[in-house]
This record gives sequence, structure tokens and C-alpha cells, in this order.
Amino acid sequence: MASEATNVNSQSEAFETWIKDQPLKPPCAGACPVNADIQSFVSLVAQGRFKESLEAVRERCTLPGSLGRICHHPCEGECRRNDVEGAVNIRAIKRFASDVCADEPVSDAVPKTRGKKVAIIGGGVAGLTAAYDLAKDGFDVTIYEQNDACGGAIYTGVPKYRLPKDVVAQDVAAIESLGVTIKTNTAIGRDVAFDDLAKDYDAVLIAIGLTVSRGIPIPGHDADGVLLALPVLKEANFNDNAAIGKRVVVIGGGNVAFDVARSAKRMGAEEVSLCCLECEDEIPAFSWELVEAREEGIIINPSWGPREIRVEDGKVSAISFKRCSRVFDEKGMFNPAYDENEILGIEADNVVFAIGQGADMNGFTGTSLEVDERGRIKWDALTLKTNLPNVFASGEVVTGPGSAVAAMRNAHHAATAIERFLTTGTAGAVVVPEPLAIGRLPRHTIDAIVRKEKNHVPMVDPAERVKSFMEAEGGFDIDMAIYEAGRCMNCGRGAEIIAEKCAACLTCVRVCPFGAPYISESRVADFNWDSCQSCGICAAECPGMAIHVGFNDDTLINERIDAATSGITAFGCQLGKPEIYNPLSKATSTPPGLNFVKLMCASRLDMRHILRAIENGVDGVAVMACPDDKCRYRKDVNWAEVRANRVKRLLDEIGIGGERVEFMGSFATPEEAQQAIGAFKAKLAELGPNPLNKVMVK
Amino acid sequence: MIVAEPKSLDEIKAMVDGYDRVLMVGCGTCVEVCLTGGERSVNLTATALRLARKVDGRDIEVGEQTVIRQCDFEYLDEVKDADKYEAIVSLACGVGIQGIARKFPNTPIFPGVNTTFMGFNEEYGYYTEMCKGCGECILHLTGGVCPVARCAKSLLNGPCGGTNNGKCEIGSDKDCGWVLIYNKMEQLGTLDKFKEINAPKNYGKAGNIRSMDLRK
Repeated sequence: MASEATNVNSQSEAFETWIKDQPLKPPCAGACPVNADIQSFVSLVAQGRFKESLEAVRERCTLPGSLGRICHHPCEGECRRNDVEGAVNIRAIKRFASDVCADEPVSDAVPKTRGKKVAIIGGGVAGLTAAYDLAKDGFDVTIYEQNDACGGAIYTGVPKYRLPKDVVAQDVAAIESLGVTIKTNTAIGRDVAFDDLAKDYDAVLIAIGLTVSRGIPIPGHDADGVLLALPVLKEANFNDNAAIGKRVVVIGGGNVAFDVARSAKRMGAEEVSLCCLECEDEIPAFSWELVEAREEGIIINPSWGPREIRVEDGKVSAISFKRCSRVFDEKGMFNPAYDENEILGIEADNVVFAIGQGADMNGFTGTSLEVDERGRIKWDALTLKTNLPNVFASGEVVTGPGSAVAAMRNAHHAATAIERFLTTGTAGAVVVPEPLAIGRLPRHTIDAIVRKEKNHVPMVDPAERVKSFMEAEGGFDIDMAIYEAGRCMNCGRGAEIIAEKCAACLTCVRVCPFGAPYISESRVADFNWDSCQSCGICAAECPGMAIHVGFNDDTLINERIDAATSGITAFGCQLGKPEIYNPLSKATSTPPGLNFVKLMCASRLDMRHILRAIENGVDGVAVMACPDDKCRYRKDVNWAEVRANRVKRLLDEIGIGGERVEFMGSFATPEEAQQAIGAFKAKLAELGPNPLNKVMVK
Repeated sequence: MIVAEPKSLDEIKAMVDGYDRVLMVGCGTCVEVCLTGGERSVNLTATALRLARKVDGRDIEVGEQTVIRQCDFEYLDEVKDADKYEAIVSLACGVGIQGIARKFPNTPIFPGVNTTFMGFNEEYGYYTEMCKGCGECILHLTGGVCPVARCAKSLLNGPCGGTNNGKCEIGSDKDCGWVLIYNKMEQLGTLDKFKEINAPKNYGKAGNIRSMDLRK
């Protein structure tokens, strides 16, 4: 019967098949360090299939709730909607999928079919990601985590106002549920010997991150009141009564420095200054961190290098800075130059160094693991191997500081390397081809795209948010999420020509609102992928049935049509509203007796789809199409209505009766839709059952 | 391009009334381009026929195939398993229908479309007649507008008294062919030629049973 369960076709699988054959990749997925299947999870949210969306996220982005909050979302930077009216808010959609499924039971354990054991040292982003991949592959994975819970930097370092700890726990629980063993409060070297792990396990992954903050040995650096970034952040995260001086100066311009400055404000500091070597344009922290920090009253002093900490009675009283005239030299190397004549003095109760981090390699001292002269693990970036045959390393400990999603990417590679090593016995280079992204939207296509303003997530008012560590950013509600997901243009997943069936008749060229089809030099139609918006109008008109539409192909649509053999089948835009959210299934669903076949746009509806539903035995077909001013595609013709009318005439001729097909437009609320469906049902009841069901075929 | 229009389902249904297994064959050239006889039309017509028969309480098996052109034997070789069917419905133009009838001499052949005219593809789904195949082209004398096809009376010297503000007396939506000719010749600066009387055409060349032999 009709329900969301009929739409079980995994778009992720479809994507996998698709992407293998495609030379081009959507710009979002191409920009994503883990190449997440963004269009799939966004499209699933648009369709109200939230649980499936979350699974599609997790496939590559293993910590959806956490990354849904803190990912720096390079995907959005490349979103082609930027050239229209603003990128799709992909990160917020991801967060929504995770939040809406927060109370979902965790998944079943994956059977450990490979008969091999892997130890992962460090349960941070890299360790957890590798654990996810390897557990999914059937390996027996154990994580050794020195803290009382997994998460690493996102657990101990990232402040709660950006990432609540229960969200991290939710993400970790989902990975643990795959059958991953997690040993917390277990430090290498203290509780477990590294060499024992290397002996006892078939493979070991070192993913210990960078957990030691560095300072600068300027005069006064060892005074009381001089602090390091990570201990301050840890205090803020785990001590509800964490306190700090009234006047705090943070040294550093990276994201950690901003985390410290903004946390200090929440710990009660009245005056927080952040001083960094870089000039305003060079500040390495994400641009929105500067905006939000300033909103919170933090004073940012760019182009200042720390000179001396003034100490009174053994305690910090002030710090002076010298003007930094340059951070990088002509060769682009870090080589700051100063103008000692220009001095800035700031009175301070605390000075916090947030200038960088190193690895804590103590647990490996005296083991067979080799390190270089600077104490760094000897590591091959291509094979992710250390000097030991079965020991690999991944994440910031070997790549250096970076984003969470970059650590995740490296960990996917590490899991691939380990899987290959455990399968073949030899390690090899993990080479990930860089996909080509689709080009920019052509001007004529931009002009043809309907403007849909971006939904921003609500932020707590700055004056309010600095009072506590409450989460500063809100999430989408269901309507906002579905709307925002509906802004995705499915770049590159639209029409493809089946050249041997094309008669070069020009129908596609004439009906496309976006100017995507053209007749190629080989005298068949082809599609300009930069322009195609995947609406499917062309495919439903092509007289030679020579057009295949990526995600909205006939196979998928027919499967959905075939889910119903009675009642009403409705066709409509995937953003249509005949459905009501069902909290049990984490998906929207229709009432019994209504099979809603979602299309990218109602214009994708083919006369053949309606006939198929009728032939299957349904009593009526409802066609729901957004009015022109609501349609996310520009259309000069309401194709769904045109085709519904054509089928009505044909059904009259057939003897089934055109009144069994009703064009309904679209609805503002599910209730309105239910009402219209109810009226149609009553009309169909008067007509009696589909004549095809009545007759006994000889 | 040859333009054809679909026959009504009733007509097709009546034609194949005596058969329970028919093959419907489309043509991938002119009639596909005019949205009447390509693969989509075959599929829709076959489905409609099947459903209509089901409503009547009698099943019918309808096979579906579309070839590149039904006016070439080589392409008709692509029609497979015709012997499994009792009859063939062709959605090609009259030429193709006769082609398939020659290809399968022992199988009853039924037309699924009415072939109408040689026309121009004005825009999506809209076609206008442009040529009658008269066998003696005089387009160079009439500004590139054919009086045989586009004047309701096929007058060689027009317009007639029925011209009405640029439209033809047969319908206000029909352009008067001779006004089109006048305007075009004016544009070309050849109105002096407009006054010359066009000699009667040899309509014998438009006669029946025509053929052409380029083999020598």
C-alpha cells in the first residue's frame, strides 16, 4: 500500500552507480573534502525522508550532528545557487536530518565477517571515521580513547556553545552501535603498551590528534595567569563553574583562538581582546567567527606580535605587543617582521596562548614506532603507513592542523589503506581521483531560474548568548528544512540523451526553459550540464523516449507507481504537501489509500505514468502541480496540467473515463490537500471502481 | 517533413477487432518529429488499445517496436517477430505503412495515423502545410511562398476576391497565400515581376503513379 515505505530506492546507491559513469561531479560534492553525496541527502530531506537522509549523510560524513554544526561547509561556497540568490544551506539541512532523528534507535551491529582485528588509538574525528568505515567493512574494531568519552577535539576542545556534548555523544553512539568496541580512559603507554597493540592486532591506526597547546617563551610567559588554549577550553567544557579573569587577552588568530576568546566571555571575562600577527584579511579563522566574535564584544587586534608579559607579584598584569608588519616573506614562508617602534599595551588578568598545537607522543616513547628529528611520526601520506608494517596513522597528528572534515577525509583514506592491507597483505597508495566539478551557471540559465531566498538558521542574540554556554545557533524546523532542501538544483543530475534513439526533432530544445538542450555536431540532441536543472519536462515530451533523467528516471518512478493497485495515486512535486510528518518513521507519509509519487517537478509527469497507474488498477489519479508563481522551475506551460488533460481525453476514448484523472494544483497545507483528496475520493466512489478491475478478461 | 495525425482510438480498435495479437510499429523519422508516430506514440497508443480492450472484457497482446524509417526495406529488417502477431498497426506515414505491408505480405496491415501533408515545424507541436508535391516548382516566381500549397484555391495568379485584410476567406486564422507572396516580393524589390502572369502549370506532373530513377 501507499506509504513512504514505497520509496525505498536508495538514492545513495543510485548515486554510486551514477557517479562511476560521470565525468563531472556536482560542485558541492566536489568541494566537500569527503565528497559527501550532498544532493542525495538534501533531496531526501526535500522529500520528507529524513531517516534515509541521515543515513546518506553518515555514509561519508560519519558524525552528522557534530559536523552539521561545526563543518566549515566548503560545499556551500561552491553551490551554484550562489550565482542566483545564495547557496543552499547544506550544513543546516545536515544538522536537521541528525536532530530530527536524535531519538532514533541506533543501528544494528555489522557482523564481523573479516576475521581481522583493528586497534584505533584515539577516538577523535579521524579515529571514529576510520572505525565507522572498517566496522562497516566487517572488521573487529577497538578504539582506545584516553578521555572519558570519544570525540577528541570536538569533545574536549570545541566549546559547547558551538557543539553541545550530547550531540557528540549521539554521533559516537551511532558508530559504537555498528559493533565498535570503545575503551575510554585508556591511555597508550599508561594503560596499554603500544607495542602490545601492534602485536595483538592485525592492524593499528594512530589517530591521536594534536592535544598539546604551545606557548611562546616571551618574557613573563611562565607567570601566574598565563594560560594555554586547550586547557582553557577543556575547563570551559567540563567545569560548570569555570571562571577566568575580568580582562583576558588571547594570542592567536585561528579558530581555536576565537573559541578561547568567545569562551572567556562566557566564563565571565568582561574585556576580551584577541591579538594576532595576521592583518585583518589574513586572519586564518573562518570569516563568520570574526563576525560572531565582534557581535559578542570581543576586540580583535590584527597585526600585533606578542612582546612581553608584565608581571606584578608573580601574576600577569599586562601584555605588550609590537606591530607586525608582515607575516609571510616573499617566498610565502612564515617569517614575521616587526616594527618595534609601534607598541600596544593591554592590561590583563589572563593571557592565553592559542597559537598552535602539537602531538602528545609520550605514549610512544621507547616503542618500535619511529619518529623524525622533530618528534613527528614517520609517515607516508600516500599509503598512510608508519615504519611498522601493520601500523597506520591518520588525522591531524600526521597532517597537521586542519578542519574536522579534512581529518575525516584523511581517515576515510586510512580505512581504505587498512582494508587493502588486511585483504591483500600489502599496503598501497590510496589515490582518490579529484572529480571535475560542473562549470558555473550560464547567464541565460541564471535568468531563467526562479528566485528562492535562502533560509538562514536563527542565532541567539549576542547579548543573550554570551551569558552562558547554551548553543548559539538554532536549527531548522521541518518546513524550513524542506523549503531549503527544495532550493537544490540537482546540478548535473538531469537529462542525458540516449543518442541512438534521438531523431534530432528539437522537441527538447523547444520545451526546455533553461536552454540546456542543443543539437550537437553529431546531429543528435545533447545537454549542457551547466544549464540543466533536472526538471524533466523534456523527458516527458521526447517523442523518441530518448531522454533519461538522472534521479527521476522512469525505472524509479514506475516502481513508485507500481506500489499501488487500488485507491488513488497522486503525482506531484516532491515539495508538494499532501503528506503529514510521521514522527515514528522520521519521514512524511500519506494517509492510507493515497500513493503519492514524488517527482522532481510535476512537469516530469509523463502521460505514460498516469496510464500505468490506471492500468495497475487504481480508481483515480490526482495530479498536483504548483502554480506558476510557486514552482521552483520557471515554466511557460503548466505541463502537468497539459498532460493530465491529454490523458483525460484518452481515457474517455478508452472507455475508462477522463474524470478519473483530476488536476488539482498544489496546496498550502496537508489539510487542504486532504480535503481535495477527500472530495476526489467521494467523486470516485460515485463513479464506482476502475472498470479494469470490474471486468473479467476472457 | 511528412506530417500525420493520430487516428482515433475507436477507429484503431475497430480495425483490429478481429485480432488478439497485434504488433504496433512506429517510425523514427518524420512522424516521430511531428509527435505522432515515434516510440512514445507507439507506447501510448498500444497501452490505450490494451486498456480499451480490457474494458470490453477481451485481452489483446500489443507488441511495440519503432524503427528508424519504415520507407526503407533495410530498416524494416529490424522489425522482429512479426510472425508472432496476427496483424500489424503501423504509425508511419502512408509511405511507411505500405512499406511494412510489402515487407510482410501475408500479414494484415492497419494504419494507426492519417497522413496529412508535407509541412514546416513552426514550433513545438505546431505544423503548417508548405508543399503539395506538384512536380513543377515555381517558388522562384513567387517570392519563396508556394501558391499551390498556401492558397486555398492553388491559384497561380492571385489573390482572388476572397482575400480579406491579409487573411483567406476560408478562415480568419489562415493567411492569404497571395498576400504573403506580395509582401515578400515587395520586400525583395521584385514587385514588377508580380504583375507578370504565371503560365498554367503542367498538372500532369502532379499525377499519380509517379516514380524517379536516378540509377543511370
